[in-house]
Amino acid sequence: MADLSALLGSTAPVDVIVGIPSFNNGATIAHVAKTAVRGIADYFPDRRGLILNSDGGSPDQTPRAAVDAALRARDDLEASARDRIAVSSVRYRGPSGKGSAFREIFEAAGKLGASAVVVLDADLRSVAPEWIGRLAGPIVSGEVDFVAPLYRRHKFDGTITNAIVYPLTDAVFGGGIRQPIGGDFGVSGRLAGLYASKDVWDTDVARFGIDLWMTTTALAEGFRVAQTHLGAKVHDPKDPGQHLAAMLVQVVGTAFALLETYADVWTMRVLADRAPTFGQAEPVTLDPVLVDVARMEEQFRFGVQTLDRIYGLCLPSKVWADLRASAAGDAGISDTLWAQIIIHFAIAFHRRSLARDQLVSSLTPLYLGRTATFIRRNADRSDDEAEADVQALARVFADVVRELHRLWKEES
Amino acid sequence: MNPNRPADFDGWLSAFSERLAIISVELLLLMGIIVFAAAIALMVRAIVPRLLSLLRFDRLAARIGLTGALHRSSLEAAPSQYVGRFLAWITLFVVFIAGSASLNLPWTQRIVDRGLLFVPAFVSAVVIAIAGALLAEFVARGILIAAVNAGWRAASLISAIARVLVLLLAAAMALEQIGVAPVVVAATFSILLGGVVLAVALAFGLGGRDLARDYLKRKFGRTSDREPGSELDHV
Repeated sequence: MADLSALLGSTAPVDVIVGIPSFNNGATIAHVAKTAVRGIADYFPDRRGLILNSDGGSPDQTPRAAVDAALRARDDLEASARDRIAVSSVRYRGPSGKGSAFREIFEAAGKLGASAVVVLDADLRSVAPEWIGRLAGPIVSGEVDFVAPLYRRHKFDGTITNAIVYPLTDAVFGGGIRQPIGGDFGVSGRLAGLYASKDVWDTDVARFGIDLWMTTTALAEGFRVAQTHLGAKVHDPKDPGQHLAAMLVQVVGTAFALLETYADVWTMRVLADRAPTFGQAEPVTLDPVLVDVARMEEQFRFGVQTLDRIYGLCLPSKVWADLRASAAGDAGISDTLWAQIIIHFAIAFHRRSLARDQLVSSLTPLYLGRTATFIRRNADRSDDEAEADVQALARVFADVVRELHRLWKEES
Repeated sequence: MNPNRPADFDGWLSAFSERLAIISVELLLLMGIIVFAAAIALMVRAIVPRLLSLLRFDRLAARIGLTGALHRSSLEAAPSQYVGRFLAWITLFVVFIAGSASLNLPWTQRIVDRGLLFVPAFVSAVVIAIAGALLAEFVARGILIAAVNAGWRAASLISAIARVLVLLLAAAMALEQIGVAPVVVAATFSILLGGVVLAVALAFGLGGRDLARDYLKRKFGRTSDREPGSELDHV
């Protein structure tokens, strides 16, 4: 494993970097590293590339697996291609987390003068060489600075993204990035340099929330953004020990915190241009998802009944009354009510009405209620119809966000 | 001079008049001190809440749970008002003690000695009580949210027990500070806490593990070991 300064001496200059953050991904990283080598060889035949694993000190020899696999894949290439692809691994510094790993990659990009950086999750099983071309191509050609992924997903997956992060980010910052926390991105060298220069690497961004932070920063700082179809994303099963409330605290907490970070941008009501979408959505077969909706609804009703003091503190009386009525009936949480709940939780987060982790964690039963509503409504609909439902929610957010502007102004 | 009046009665009357005059002056001075202390205290009560409002203290109090703790105790005014009242009473007490000390009288000296000894302990006790109330609110709310998210039907009960335990601990510490039967307070708290722990231990031990498990599962347990929505990839 090399450190960055040793790497700089042996590798510069580099045009395209494929960074792979990792921690204990020894079982899966070899496939990602091999694919990255092929991606650079196939899609950037006249560019110098670097496969850079940024590891958090994995005891399972992840860096060795990544470097060995990439070197083997490089050995299979023609001699001319072999010479222009370097392979290395660094151990990142700072708090443990994907963000710290990214920081190391972005700093390397700046020091090596790379024009494009692609970051790929180390547990990807569906990654293909064309992903490198699709994520880095529009950047190398100078069209955009940031490319977000657009995966084909089951209509009931990505519910935090669909119900909160996408509509909120789109309503507040614009851009229409459908999967702002996709995990795999393409970034220009200029934007990577900006990321590395930000004073966030000792905060939660270093541990979690890096994906949304990158997307929002690109949108809010006026970089040209795009999204590209990548097909289905298949990766290791999620950690079964990670609870939904913890996920919400990380993802939604980051989304709310970013509203504060870039308040001076979005309160001016300047929205980013709609991001162009590259590629075509290819039909893929997705595994069915069976959900116990009744339990989610039961949990929702129990939460509304038991956390009444907290909701009464965070929500205005009309919204709180509507929420109680929805818990008492069968109609579920409407789009408008849900958008209002999220807006008022964002304001409560900003006001610090409660300890922030407790506040976002208390959103869990409501999120389950909203997810149950979405699943019931779209159970017999096609994927496209379910997507239209997500887009309808985004339009409601775009209306309700005026309330966020007004309340935020009152706070300042 | 009345020849029938005893000579020592005149002396007594003279001494009584002189004493009465002195006491009257002392009382007047004392009343003056009380009025002065009250005036200062009223000023403190008027000014402190405004200052705290300017410093957005009430918002901070809501954020850290102080407002919620007060509302739970049926104290509906803004926290800055209570801080103002508390400081006003302290001001009244301190100015009165200081004024009394300036009279340099034996009985006021006794008040001064006891009062000055009492003030730090009293302030410490109040601070402990407020910190305890805040901690109780924070802990109880955190447990309530976690228990609801875990699907525990007895979330409110568990949260309430946690609140009471933290408040009991704070109350015991505060009472000990002001010297209210410290041995009794410590013993009472130990007995209460020990009783709770013993009851739980008995439920699991003597009452039978199976019975306790069945009961807890029925009463407190989740309907399933899996989290609602765990089939989904949320992010």
